[in-house]
Amino acid sequence: MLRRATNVAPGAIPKSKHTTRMAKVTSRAAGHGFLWLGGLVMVVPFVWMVLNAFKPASEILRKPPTFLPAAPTLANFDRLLTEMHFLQYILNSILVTACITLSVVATSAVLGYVFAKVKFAGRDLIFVAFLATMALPFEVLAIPLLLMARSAGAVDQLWGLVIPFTIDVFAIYICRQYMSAIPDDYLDAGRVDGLGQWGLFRSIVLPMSKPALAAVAILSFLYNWDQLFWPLVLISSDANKTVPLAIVSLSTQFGPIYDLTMAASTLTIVPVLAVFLVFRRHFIQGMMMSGLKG
Amino acid sequence: MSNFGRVRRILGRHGWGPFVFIVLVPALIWIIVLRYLPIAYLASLSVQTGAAGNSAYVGLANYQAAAADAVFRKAVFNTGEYMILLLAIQIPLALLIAVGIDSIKNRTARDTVLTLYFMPLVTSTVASAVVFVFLYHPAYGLFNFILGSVGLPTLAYLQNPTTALPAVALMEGWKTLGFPVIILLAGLQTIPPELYDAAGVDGAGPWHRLRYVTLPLLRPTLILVLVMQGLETLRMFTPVFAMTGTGSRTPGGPVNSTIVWSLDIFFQAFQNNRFGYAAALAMLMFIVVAGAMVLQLSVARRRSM
Repeated sequence: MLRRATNVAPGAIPKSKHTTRMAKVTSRAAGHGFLWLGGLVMVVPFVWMVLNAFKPASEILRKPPTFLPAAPTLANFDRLLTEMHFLQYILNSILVTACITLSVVATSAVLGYVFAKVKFAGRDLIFVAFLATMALPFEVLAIPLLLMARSAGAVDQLWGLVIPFTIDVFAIYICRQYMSAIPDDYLDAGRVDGLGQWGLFRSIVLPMSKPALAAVAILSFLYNWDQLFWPLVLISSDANKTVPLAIVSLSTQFGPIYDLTMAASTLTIVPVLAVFLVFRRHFIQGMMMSGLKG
Repeated sequence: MSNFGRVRRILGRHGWGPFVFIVLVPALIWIIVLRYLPIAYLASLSVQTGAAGNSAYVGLANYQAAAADAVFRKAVFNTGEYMILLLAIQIPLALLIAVGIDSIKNRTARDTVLTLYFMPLVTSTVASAVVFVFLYHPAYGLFNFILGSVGLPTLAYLQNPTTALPAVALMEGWKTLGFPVIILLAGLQTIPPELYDAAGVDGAGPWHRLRYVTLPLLRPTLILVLVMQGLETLRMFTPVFAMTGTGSRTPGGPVNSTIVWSLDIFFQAFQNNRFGYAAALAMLMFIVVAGAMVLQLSVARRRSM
């Protein structure tokens, strides 16, 4: 702004270069200061969650609140894992999410390849038929899917949680975009070597598409680990609950028991955060890929 | 057998070799059975009284009932309010943060700040929601403790019909902020730095650079982020359900102040067993999404021509 002012009024005495630069540096520093402050505020809920997970209920409901736990205890986790069968829910969630993620990675790799690199009649039409379902909110499908699940015997079954998500059109889209950018020369060279479609996919396209597949795996894991609507509709028995469903029923059945909900949230969030911090670059790159267009 | 061979030859001539066949046919069956068929099923349910064998055709009666239903209208209105709150506050804020992160030169500092904003995005929504329920606790929550210690009046957050919806929206905004930040940051990195240098030579300050260089070039990315976040908030089921349904409270309360479209579908279908009516509500949501997509496609096409 200062610089512009000097340009607009050529007759005025120009401000010294030094003050302009000083103003610029301080405003940038102030901006960065706010940026850091905001970033730290983002983390406050996690810190508060972890700290309270180690407090007994009597200390959680205290005014004014204590910051660090007075006498850190593992009792909340112990109660959660033994009394509340939380380990079972975690295993259910891992099983369901792993099945979906493996299936999504496999199907989107091979379908992405077919739509990107194989030529056949009707390809674009079929691709559009897939893409058209991409923006469909799951809530729209839930009613007919539940009625279908009833007649298929999938109600209250873990496999019933898996089937509606084994193919992910958005993941196919990401893979197709990535694989389209692979030059045809590589595939031509493979054909000269006598590779068929499977060979071309297996030994040329697949190894070159690892970043896209990593992105798809991460996005699929995060999305399905987080699902609540479909488990809520489909699952009725306690033994088949997933983690989000278990946390929700924890607070709906027993009222707000913050000692247990904080411990449950910590158990759900901290492992994922740890994996995220180790593979940060992959996560961020994967998210960026989900914004690719064209 | 010779017939089979002939079909194979004809298919093969059009590129439908065994590989394409084996990959594509199961996927096509999947998408028809689990995506297209349910929509058709939903449409037929929406003109019936229910799902059971004694269900009767009622024409558009379910849709007429929806139009007259005060709770459904409230749910649609609230969905719009969440959407406006999130898009109008979160996206501009995300743009500022992205521009700020983009201006950090030190790589480690840049990565660290980005990670901080990104963290809530990788966490479970339900787990985050119950953490916020605790933060919002009127007596023992952190938020009221902070407000009280700086001498501001405390709030009842989720217990008060006026503040409940913004309180849920705040948690959703916090949880998903990293997504627009990362997409906009990716968009910013595609803008050639020479353009900023040229603008600087012309005497443009930071505001003018943002207004005349960044925003026009970032427009496709901004539209993409708006559409994707808009679709996300249209659903908005999990935060509302997990934050407003604690204890004996009905999710969507107090007095329907936080209820959303998807929650109303859930109640009508899976608690009241009014499958026909709930199907009409879901069908209306489908029509809104399909309409928005057609609109967005036609706008994008017109621009590219």
